[in-house]
Amino acid sequence: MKLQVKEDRCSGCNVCRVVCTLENFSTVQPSQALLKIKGLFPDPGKYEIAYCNQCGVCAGECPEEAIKEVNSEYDIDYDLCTQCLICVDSCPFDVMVVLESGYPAKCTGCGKCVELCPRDAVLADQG
Amino acid sequence: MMTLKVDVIVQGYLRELYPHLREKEEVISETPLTVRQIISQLGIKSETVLFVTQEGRIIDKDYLVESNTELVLVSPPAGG
Amino acid sequence: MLHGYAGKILKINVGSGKQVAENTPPELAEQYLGGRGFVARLLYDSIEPGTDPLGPANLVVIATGPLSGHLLPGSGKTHFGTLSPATGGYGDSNMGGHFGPALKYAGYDCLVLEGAAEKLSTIVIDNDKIEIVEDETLQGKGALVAEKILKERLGEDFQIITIGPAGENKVAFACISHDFGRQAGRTGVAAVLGSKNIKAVAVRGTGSIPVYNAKGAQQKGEAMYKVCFAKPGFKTWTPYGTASITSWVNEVGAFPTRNFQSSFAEFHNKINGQAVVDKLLITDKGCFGCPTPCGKYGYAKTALGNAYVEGPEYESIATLGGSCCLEEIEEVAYANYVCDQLGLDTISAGVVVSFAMECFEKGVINTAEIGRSISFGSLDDVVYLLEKIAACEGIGAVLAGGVKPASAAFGGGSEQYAIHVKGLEWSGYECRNAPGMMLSYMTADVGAHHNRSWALGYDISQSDADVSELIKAGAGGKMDVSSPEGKVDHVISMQHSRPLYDTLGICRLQTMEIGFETVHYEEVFELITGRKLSWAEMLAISEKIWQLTRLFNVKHIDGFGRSWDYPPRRFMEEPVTSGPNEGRYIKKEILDKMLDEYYEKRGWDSNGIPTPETIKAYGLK
Repeated sequence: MKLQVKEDRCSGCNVCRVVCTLENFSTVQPSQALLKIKGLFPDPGKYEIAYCNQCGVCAGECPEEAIKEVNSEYDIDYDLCTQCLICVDSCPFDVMVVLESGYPAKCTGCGKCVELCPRDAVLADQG
Repeated sequence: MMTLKVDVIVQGYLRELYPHLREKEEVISETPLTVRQIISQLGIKSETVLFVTQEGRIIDKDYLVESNTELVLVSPPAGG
Repeated sequence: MLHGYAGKILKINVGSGKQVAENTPPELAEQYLGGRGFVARLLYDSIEPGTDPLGPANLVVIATGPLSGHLLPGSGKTHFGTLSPATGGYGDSNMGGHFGPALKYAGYDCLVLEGAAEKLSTIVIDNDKIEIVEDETLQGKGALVAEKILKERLGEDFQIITIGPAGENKVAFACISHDFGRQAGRTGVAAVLGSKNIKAVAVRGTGSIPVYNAKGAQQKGEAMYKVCFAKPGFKTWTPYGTASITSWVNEVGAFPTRNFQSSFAEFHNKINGQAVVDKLLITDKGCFGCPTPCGKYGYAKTALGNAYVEGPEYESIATLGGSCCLEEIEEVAYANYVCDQLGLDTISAGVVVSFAMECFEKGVINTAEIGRSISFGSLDDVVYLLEKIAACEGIGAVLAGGVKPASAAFGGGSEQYAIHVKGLEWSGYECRNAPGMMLSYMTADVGAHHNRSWALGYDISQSDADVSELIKAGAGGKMDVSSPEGKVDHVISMQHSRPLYDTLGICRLQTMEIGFETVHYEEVFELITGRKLSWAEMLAISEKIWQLTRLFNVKHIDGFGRSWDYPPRRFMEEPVTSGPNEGRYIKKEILDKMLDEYYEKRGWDSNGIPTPETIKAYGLK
């Protein structure tokens, strides 16, 4: 699933980030979430959501060609990954993370954030 | 004569105050009723209801309710 | 391993710099759950009688609950506790936001601060790296300003609590501020932080919390959110937040007005939930894990200035709007903003300011003492007094102790209308027609606070007249004082159920507002902690904590007993001046009857002291 966001609906609750790490890493650890929320307070009083739009920059930068496009989404092939982490640095939205194992991780398009966002601020990109 | 049939959602603190009520109650009447009269038919004192909504909009407690609709009774924040 | 918990209690002596991270004792988790339970037990065990609330031996305990930081609705709560400088007894305050979850991800269930730093300092907790950083450049900075400075310095991923100038100056009702608009407002915890020279605590937690059954807890957590989404109130309650109650409280004649002289404000429609949405709102602002954010973040324009501000929520509307008679929502919001920057609890601050206004009206204090004349309804006067209080200057130095010591200093009969219990100012519900709510305020462990038991709805449901019919009927129509019969059981039951949420580290509003069922908490608690505990068993723990906080007051307050459980004489002797409850008051004999019944049911003697048998029955020592 490709994501899109409507930032004006976000209330900063971080439910998306908690469910993200539970679904992808079986852990309650929002610091490892594959999307980020930044509150702009006190001025102007709004939230920014950084998320993976499956732009594929990481795939283009990967020297091992370990990140592959499958059905408009980019997945890491961990058999080919050498943990160089060039992909993490290359992400234009800073939404890739380094796991405790040393491997990188990126949004898998699982859609849990869309399913649980109470505000419909994170949505499936229909088009 | 037309029979009035209204579903009423009772929730939150109101169900603590009126434990005999279920989350969804049905009110049937042979005469037209206002929101307030419907609330009172359920044995609820209308002042304990913060406000009432129909299709997501707040409606006046003296509004004459049409049939086959659903009213949601919203309870006061109860000391948030 | 304690599942669901972070696993450590971090104790820091901010004077010596000594830090110890101890394992969270399994028996503490078993017997007191967390949050309020940890606060009450740790304070009771660690503070000696005779301790100065503002001395280095007092503690500030910051505790999360077993459900804080997990995937479930409203899991963002943090509990703060101390020996209160406002009451001299048990003090605690609960706050939403994101601080508690961050503390758990850093590895700590609980943070215990003791001692006093030599210079103004900030505690920086970056997972297991802890520093006490002296920084006098933050001195005098507004609580929100200080948070912004620290966010920019440390990074967006730090969650920060700060105090304002009022906390630095040890004002008895100084509040802790977090996330640009969330506060732990009550009982003066921030004054104790100020006495320790701690301006802020910043936490970054990048770790995880162990979960007994991660897959099961995830599935249950997801299902809990979906239950909330499906509730009919999900979309109707959220847009207005707690301010939605304003006109209702006024309709039933419980809206404090003119320092609680009346319980009805003609101008309520200008300061209610609709006014917040129409005139202020920029965005809803949620706490961690919240599906129904009550936080309304907005922008207020007034003659005195413009400000971004979270709120005002109901309590601030009641005390600054109702009690001080600020008749426009922008003015209430601006006064709220000033309180937030100065680091003053809006509830106590509103009551203290309105008390000063009434004292001036009655000639108890004069322009020379105040520095000017003051009147109800003037934003300029409200802000003037707030700034004097935070700075402890002139009349502000007297008011900074709260209405109890201020009325003792002013004399002139002002004790009659110093609206407090045990030294804590009354929050936003006038009770001269609500005996259950009155008893709730009288017997709350921290003083006159509403959230231990909110019996107002019960009082209204038991009254024998339809208020709006009476209002429509015009003058002469009055709502009968509802009978005190049967109120005591309801109050006792609520005093266990409401604080249980503070013990588990979750928000109660999903249950209270949209009817989220408590059975879900039982199920998710078992999946997260591996411990099977029914809601009834959890309530029994909450009941034990209620006994413990009473014992704390007995231990620390000289001569503590029945006389500490009465409301101000105004509520027992003076009729309400206008509105549906005009003419009403509750005689002391009625309150005495309720207190007798309450003490008996609690297992306390006629002076309100837990008997040795009661202490033994609850396994307390």
